[in-house]
Amino acid sequence: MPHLSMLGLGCLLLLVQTVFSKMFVHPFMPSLLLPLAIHMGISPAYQLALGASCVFVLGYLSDSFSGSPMGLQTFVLVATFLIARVAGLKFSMRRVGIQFMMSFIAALLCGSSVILLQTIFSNPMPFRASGAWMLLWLLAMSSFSVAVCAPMIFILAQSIESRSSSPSVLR
Amino acid sequence: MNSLFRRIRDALAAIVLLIIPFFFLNANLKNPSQTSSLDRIILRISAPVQYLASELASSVSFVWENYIYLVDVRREGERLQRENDRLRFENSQLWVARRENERLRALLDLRARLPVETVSASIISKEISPYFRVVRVRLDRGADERIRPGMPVLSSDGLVGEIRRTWGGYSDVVLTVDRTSAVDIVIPRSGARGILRGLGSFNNYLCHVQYLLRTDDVRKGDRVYTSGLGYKFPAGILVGTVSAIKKKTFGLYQEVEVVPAVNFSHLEEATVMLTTSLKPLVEDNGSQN
Repeated sequence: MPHLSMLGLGCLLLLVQTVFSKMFVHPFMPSLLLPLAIHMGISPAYQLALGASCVFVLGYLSDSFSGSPMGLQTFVLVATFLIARVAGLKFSMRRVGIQFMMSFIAALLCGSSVILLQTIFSNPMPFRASGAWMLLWLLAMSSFSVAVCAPMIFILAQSIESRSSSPSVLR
Repeated sequence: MNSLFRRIRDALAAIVLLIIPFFFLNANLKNPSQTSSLDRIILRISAPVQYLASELASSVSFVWENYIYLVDVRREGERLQRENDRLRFENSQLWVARRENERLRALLDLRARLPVETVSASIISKEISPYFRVVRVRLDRGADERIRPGMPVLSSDGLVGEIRRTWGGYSDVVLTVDRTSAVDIVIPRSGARGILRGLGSFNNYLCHVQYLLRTDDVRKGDRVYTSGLGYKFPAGILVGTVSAIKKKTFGLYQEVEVVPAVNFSHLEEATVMLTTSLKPLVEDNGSQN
């Protein structure tokens, strides 16, 4: 039940992100699924296999809605979930400041992974050195927008989780 | 044992769920000419799933754009409706202006053809019978513009009548259909001549021609013009069209009804000839010839 609730919430966030994408100025368009994947990773209410499967589906839908190469967001979100679970980020994520900071770092890492994956799998293209600073700027701004939205998504996920799930111990 | 099984299961799930998108990404980003058999298999397997996902995205987009997002569309529709109403109003005003332009141009042409000085006037009021027939019209020009009783009044369609009285800046016009009106006419096709008098009926515009000989060739549809005799009205001004003929087997004359050429109900402007007699002009032309 909690997995289905998170799947539903993820679909809703994806819809909001897609519909309101025109209102945001590039690169301040946040990825709303990333904080959700982090929350599912650190929360003991979600089993690893089922949680990863839910994140897999959300990532696949995100690739379909956004038009990015299939598998890109899927891989990044699943990896984020697993890293959040394996790293044992159970220390206090209730504070808004910690949520902001951890989301910012996670978004930076995810953004870098996306660039790296596209570099590896796409045909090599000429890249100017001055473009690196622009890339860093875009990455930082995008991560900042994710971090700003993260506390709200954490609150939303926790409220839905508390209504729909019974706590289970992470083994 | 259960915990070991669960750990193995979780590890396998993690590996599989990481590898699958990895292979998807590899297959999708690779140059199509460089895809391997494995890539093609992956693409073939993922195609139906991608189709379902894209259909889902299209459906959501459709619902949003056609049902939820219509707020702006409705507002835009209301704005366009107001704009449409404004443009319709402007269009009707422009149409009225164009019609007025056409009438005034025709009046200018008429003035250019007349041999005497004229003054243009607008119809400012119409006296209406109980049957909504125009009985008398009033012009916005009067004695101040040298208009006198008895002066002919014309329009681009034909003869309107003559000035009955003036005061200050206004004049009253007796129409050709009035009982007191009398105009000497000729039917050019046959040369038949007579006197056109108004019937003065309240429910239609009709005149009849007196003193048309029974032997005169008159047909329904013949045009009736001023003859110029009496030097009151210039010759060649269209008065009306023959609408009915009553020819008896005895008597000297035939009865002919004429429908006036001017539609008095729609009359908006007229031209007044500033002379009560064309005799000096005719005599001058005669002496020159």
